[in-house]
Amino acid sequence: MSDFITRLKNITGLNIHKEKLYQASLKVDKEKIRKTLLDLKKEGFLQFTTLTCIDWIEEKTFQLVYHLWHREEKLHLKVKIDIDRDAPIVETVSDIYIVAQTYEREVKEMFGVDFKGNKRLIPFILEDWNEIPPMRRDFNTREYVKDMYETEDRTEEIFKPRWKKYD
Amino acid sequence: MNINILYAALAPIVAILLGLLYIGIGRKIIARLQRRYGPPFYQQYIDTIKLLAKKTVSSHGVFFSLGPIMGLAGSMVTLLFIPFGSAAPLLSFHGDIILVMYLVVIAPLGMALGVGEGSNPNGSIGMARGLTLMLAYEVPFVLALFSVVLYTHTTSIAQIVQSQAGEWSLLKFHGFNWLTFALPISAIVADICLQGMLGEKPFDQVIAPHEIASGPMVEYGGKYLGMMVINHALHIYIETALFVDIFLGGGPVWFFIPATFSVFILSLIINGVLPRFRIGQALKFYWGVPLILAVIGIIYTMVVIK
Amino acid sequence: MSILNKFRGKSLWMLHYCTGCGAIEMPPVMTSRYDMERFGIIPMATPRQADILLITGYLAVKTLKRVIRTYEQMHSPKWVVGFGACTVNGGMYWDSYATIKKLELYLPVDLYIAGCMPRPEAIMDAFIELRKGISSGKYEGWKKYIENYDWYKKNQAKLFDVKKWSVNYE
Repeated sequence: MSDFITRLKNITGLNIHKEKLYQASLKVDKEKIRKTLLDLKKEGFLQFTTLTCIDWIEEKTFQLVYHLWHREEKLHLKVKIDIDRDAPIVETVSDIYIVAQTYEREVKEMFGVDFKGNKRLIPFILEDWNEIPPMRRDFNTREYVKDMYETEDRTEEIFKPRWKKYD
Repeated sequence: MNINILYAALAPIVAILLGLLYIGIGRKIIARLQRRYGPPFYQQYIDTIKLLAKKTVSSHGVFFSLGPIMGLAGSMVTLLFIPFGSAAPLLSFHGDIILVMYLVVIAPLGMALGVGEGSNPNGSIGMARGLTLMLAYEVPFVLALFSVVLYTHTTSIAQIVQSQAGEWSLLKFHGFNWLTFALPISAIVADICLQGMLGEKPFDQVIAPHEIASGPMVEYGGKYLGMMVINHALHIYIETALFVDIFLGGGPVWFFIPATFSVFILSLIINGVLPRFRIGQALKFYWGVPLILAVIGIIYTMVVIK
Repeated sequence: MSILNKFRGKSLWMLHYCTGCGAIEMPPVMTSRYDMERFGIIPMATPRQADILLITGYLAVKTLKRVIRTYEQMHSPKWVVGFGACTVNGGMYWDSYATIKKLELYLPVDLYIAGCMPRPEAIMDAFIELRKGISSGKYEGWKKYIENYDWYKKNQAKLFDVKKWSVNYE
């Protein structure tokens, strides 16, 4: 395992940290993400597992984490990039890993991160959504729930459901 | 004259009540096959009355409403040609066996008319399957009837029943006049085709609830669905009665009703243990072994006659 | 009229709208272990044929639209049964941005089955209760929905465009 990571470091010149058995992580600049993933794919990281996003509201950054999996060496590699929270634009990797298209759609919908070059960045799950993206930390869920779902309850006078209770 | 009117009025009622009873007992038997307790035998009556007592009616147009009515009317007209055992039917003439074959088709065609206006894709698929299935089972069935006509030298159902008449009593059982024993191959072919006619598994592609959401009935609800359930009950009675009349010699009432019921239950038990064919497989099945058997049946008949 | 209600109570055709985990409780109820067909309850494939709309589990705004359309396609008399804590008050999704909290604000729920999840016995018991209620004409949610159509539509309109998702809305 460590041999593979050392070899990987030598070939690609990347700064890879081994975190656990079978797990390693790597931090690159926002501009270099496409080149890095291309290099890693050449080395055998054929599976793009998922793309996640973390909202570091205090540092005003979004952290995107690309999860890759090397099948022969059994290595789970996390490639992290930081992007500006106020102008969240990053280049797509959907032409390198085709599955990334869907994950980028999800991140776009839930965090509002824009992916330049993704051809299928259409709305995904939410319908009729007018607020800021719901997974951002400045989105107040309690407030929203109170506004949307707590209506004046007139069911007492209109039609009260009966109950089947089990204690 | 008055008796004729009474007959025309009573025959559908009796047939509907019998058909619903058969379905109800059939549901119980299927439940027991699956080791369930099952609904009471009168459940089908309750369901039908409930459907007819629904308060709203939603229609998609004139033909949508006319479809079930046309189907029901077609079945009721067919009923007038079917002898109730050895009792003669209201209408009977030479060639009515051919007419009945045509009249049986009216019910599905009426449904197709209504389903087309409903414009639900599931309904259209179901109807297309229904007509394809009809194409599949009609060919061997008509050939089987052809051998019967060859054997008995008549094309009237009443005379076919008469030709099998024997001395009927509880002690003396002259079952050996039956065409089943004279033409065993044709009888087997007709019974296989009956499975498709009744729409039981493995030939229930038309109303496959898990694939196409009950097919032609998908847009029908409430009173229309009640009409369709009644039509289904009539259909079951007509098909089984036709089989019993032609191959099991009709017989008196005490024989006729259990015989039709047993024919239905036989197909129901086959239904209980088999999965569903695809429509292409059903077509291939019917145009394979039953068709060849039907042709062999005709050759056998010609040999027997000589 | 009461005689017809007796028939209605004994023949309940059910459309189960299975969202979330509640769906897993239905197969034992339908099959030989609990066998609900002995009470005349059978699952139906389309809303046109069904009498009961059984909603098992949480409803997101997105699915609520479909449920309302389904409910309005059914033929009255019809009944709604809410199943599980999620339909009662949101359950574990009480602060989720995407799921509705009280189903009774949007549809006239006749009977709630509380629990997370209710066992098949609870479902059977609730159906017996429903059967008794329908036979005596106690459950009339579908009438209330017509009478208070504006109020229900007002609640629905808060979440989405009701004109697009209702069957007969002028």
